[in-house]
Amino acid sequence: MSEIALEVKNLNAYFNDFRAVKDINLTYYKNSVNAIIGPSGCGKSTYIRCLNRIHEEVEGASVSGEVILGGKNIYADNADPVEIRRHIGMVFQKPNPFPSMSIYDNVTIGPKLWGEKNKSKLDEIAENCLKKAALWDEVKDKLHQDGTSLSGGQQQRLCIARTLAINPPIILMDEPTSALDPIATVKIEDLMNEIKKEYTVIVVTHNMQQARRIADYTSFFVLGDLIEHGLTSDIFTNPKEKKTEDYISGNFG
Amino acid sequence: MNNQVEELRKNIIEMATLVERILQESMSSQMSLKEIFLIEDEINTYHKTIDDNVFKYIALQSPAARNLRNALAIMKMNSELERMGDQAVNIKRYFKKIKTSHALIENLSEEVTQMVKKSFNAFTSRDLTLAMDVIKSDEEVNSLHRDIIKDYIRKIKDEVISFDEGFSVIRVAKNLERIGDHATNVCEDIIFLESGADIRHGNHE
Repeated sequence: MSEIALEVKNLNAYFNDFRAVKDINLTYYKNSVNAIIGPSGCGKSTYIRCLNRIHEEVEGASVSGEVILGGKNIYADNADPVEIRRHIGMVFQKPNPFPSMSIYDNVTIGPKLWGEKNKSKLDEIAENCLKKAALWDEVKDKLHQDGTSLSGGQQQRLCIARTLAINPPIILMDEPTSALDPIATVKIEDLMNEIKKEYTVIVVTHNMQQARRIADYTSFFVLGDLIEHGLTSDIFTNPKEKKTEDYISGNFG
Repeated sequence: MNNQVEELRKNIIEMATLVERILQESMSSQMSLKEIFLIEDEINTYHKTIDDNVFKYIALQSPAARNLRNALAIMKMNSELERMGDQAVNIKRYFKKIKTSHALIENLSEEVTQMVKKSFNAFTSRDLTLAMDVIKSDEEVNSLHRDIIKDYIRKIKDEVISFDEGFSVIRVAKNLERIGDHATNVCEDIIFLESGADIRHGNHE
């Protein structure tokens, strides 16, 4: 069995009194891609936002339970959410490069904020991360153009490069391809497969074909409950739960 | 999507009905070889249509779980049924050369016919116990087949029967035994379809 990357224990997420995510226990292994699927409103986005303490930023939102990263609970009293997000990065549904900031600055802003001042080191980070995000060849001659001048698919890869730049061992993605065309989607999927060699990826997706193509493990959520979690190859060929079977066969949700 | 699976299942059941019929007619004197070929033609048409329908279903619907297992099992059963049809034609070719009745062949034929019927029933009723019964009975069919070969080689050697008669009996027995193997394979496909378990090659866990 591979090394554990992240452990979720008895996790509950609330919006005021409403419990949107119920008692989740899950273990994520290093160098794996993990998909979260489920019908709209099943709590999958809320759940993933708990994994780097973004959920609590919403007014009235709260979390109970533990998320263990490197032996430490990210919800411990002395844990710093900003520091945690440096270790657990996130890519959102809509590409959100920083406006009026160049491609180069978008990628290097993270390391700069964390104190990296050396220009050649920053150049190296920009090149490496853009290469890992499979964007380098397309942007190497226009690094000082606005990030928002790129196409949607390129912008999303730029956001991935920006996330990689702070080198977080865990990368969360919330429907990262739902705003992209099929070609851009394939590029992001290939990228997930590539970056898992160094990182652990947890991705929420509405697209079950995508989960089948990219994920080593798949979790199926309904109304805040984790119905089933297992190897993607098991979930999509012989699921244990009737609800999973119905959902992936298009009879439910 | 489920309607399409039901349609595929319906097609394979119709094909199985033809296979049962051709098998029955291959060992009766009611039908000529020419008429047998007509049934085989129908079976071959199903063979191509079902493969094509499964191919399109997988390509267009990307089924998962039970739907996917149904599609794969039906595609595999399709090949087994087509071979059964071919073997029934072979049986007819040799059976019409046999001059007298042979009790051992009748026993074997009865066993194999039951296996085939049960395997199709196991598919329609999704009955795993019945499918396992068929798989177990293949051993009995193999043993009957071995007895016939041994017996008739001896009879030919001892000149108790003509070479042509003995050889035809052996060929009929061989084809019946192969049909039993195909019925076994069908049942293994059914078990995979219904449970997801692969019990082929002696893995009966």
